[in-house]
Amino acid sequence: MSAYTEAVVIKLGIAILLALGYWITAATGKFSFGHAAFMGIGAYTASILTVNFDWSLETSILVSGLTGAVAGAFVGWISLRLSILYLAIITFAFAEIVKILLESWDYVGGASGLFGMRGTTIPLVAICILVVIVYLFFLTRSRKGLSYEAIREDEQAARACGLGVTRISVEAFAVSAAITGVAGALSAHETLIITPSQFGAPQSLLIILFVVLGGVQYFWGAIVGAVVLTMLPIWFDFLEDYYQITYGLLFVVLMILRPQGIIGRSTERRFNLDSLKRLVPGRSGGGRDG
Amino acid sequence: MLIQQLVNGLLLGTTFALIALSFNLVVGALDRLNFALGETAMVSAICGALFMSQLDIPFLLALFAALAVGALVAALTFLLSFRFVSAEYHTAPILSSLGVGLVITSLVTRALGSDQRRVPTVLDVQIEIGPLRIVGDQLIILVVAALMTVLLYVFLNRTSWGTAIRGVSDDPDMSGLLGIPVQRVILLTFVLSGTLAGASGLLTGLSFHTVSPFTGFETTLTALMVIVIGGLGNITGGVIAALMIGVIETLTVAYLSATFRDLIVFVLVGITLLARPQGLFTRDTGVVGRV
Repeated sequence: MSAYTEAVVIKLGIAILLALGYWITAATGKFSFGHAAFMGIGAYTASILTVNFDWSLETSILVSGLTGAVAGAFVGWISLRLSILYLAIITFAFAEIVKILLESWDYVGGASGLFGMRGTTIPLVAICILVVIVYLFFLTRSRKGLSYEAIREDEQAARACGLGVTRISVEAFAVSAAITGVAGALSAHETLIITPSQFGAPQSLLIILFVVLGGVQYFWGAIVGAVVLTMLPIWFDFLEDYYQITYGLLFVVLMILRPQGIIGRSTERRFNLDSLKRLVPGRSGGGRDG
Repeated sequence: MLIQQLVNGLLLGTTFALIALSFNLVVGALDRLNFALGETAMVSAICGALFMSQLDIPFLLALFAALAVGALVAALTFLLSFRFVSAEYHTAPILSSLGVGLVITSLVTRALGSDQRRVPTVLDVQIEIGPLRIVGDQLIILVVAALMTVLLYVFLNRTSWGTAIRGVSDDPDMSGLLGIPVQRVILLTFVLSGTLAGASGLLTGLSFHTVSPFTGFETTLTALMVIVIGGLGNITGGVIAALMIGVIETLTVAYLSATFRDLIVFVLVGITLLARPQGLFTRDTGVVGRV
């Protein structure tokens, strides 16, 4: 296998891992807008351990998953009691805080970055993905997976059924952050140099787009989203200067046409007259209006 | 020295107040946030700066042009991210308006280049009151910001369209039943919020004398911090919180260091959310639950 193919496969694998990690929190209907921060936390944790303490990559990856989980549980604990809008604001702010702290921390090279990592191999990435997929396979068939779905579809009804909505969401958020941390550790040992600015808002939005494109109903939808969005820039390299515009337009068009993602059923029957009437005014109620 | 910093902070706070007002208007109308408003402010500022430095248009005309650009962009955002997006998906408008923001930033860098633009000095005078020194441009910022806030207040409270906006923000269904064209009122609210964002963008540019096409997201973030502390949808609380954050940021830069500037504000937001999620200056009116 040529070095180029190997790099593409690893990149693809990391994207899949990021998408699967994000899917877990999206499955409870809680969208995070700063998941790149957990990726950054994982990346820096693992890199410090392998570069400065000579730990093996495998143990460092486990530790970075753990730090990701702790950070995720903390952020989730603050924000998941509140509504989705507050979650958005807090995760945005958290990502900025992590970036600022890393930039002013000289031990890890500040804004100029940390380097000297290597060692991500295809089997290692594959094992991580496999573990996550097996976990998700059993999760989606368990009572807990069912409770995620219940919270996503109707949080009040779920609460009325006696589900501890906040506890379950925080748990999902922490697991999601842990997987994202692992993906960050793997990507740090692939890109060879990490800087705080790699883990800013654009990266967070890309992770969201993976999952939103695929849809949140099935976890393999996230895999499809990750594969499509990673391979598109590689196949269409003439688009290079227009990524941001493409991604932005993709968000806008998707939200109008298929807010549930490419894969996944709509909760409403879209093309009966009733739903069209509800669709056009944007919100319920409203007078006669051009 | 301290008084000087306090005044500078308050003046910085007035520009924050405008952008926070602009976010709060949309929250009132739709119970949703328009995450593209920061980028809207950026486009207006860049256009205003270009008009002033390249075409030598006087400040007042450039300001009106910037306001018009802001209104136009906000109306477009409404059509793209809110009007035709199903209300059943709560995250959809957030993602969609973030997408609009991305598109705006890259279109501006593509069409006008990614370099910073200079905003020329408008009023070249200095007023000294004891130890206090106020530059002419700071006066302009203060006057324009105060004027816009007062005009908005009068519009909302004394005109029939303003009453309609308040009605829709209270209860859209009831307003619709009473014959108010809800969708048009919401569009009007977006246009107003766009003008405020435009003003805030150009005034911020005037106070630092530069505008950069990459500040859009930062502006959004600052405005979010302000409205969390002031209380979502609370207009008075937003203004107070904006002035407070302006003072805190200026004092931190002056007496601690610039790296702590955002950090202190974020910590403040974290404490606010833990202790009083509805904001420091609001009773719990249920907006938090609705949004």
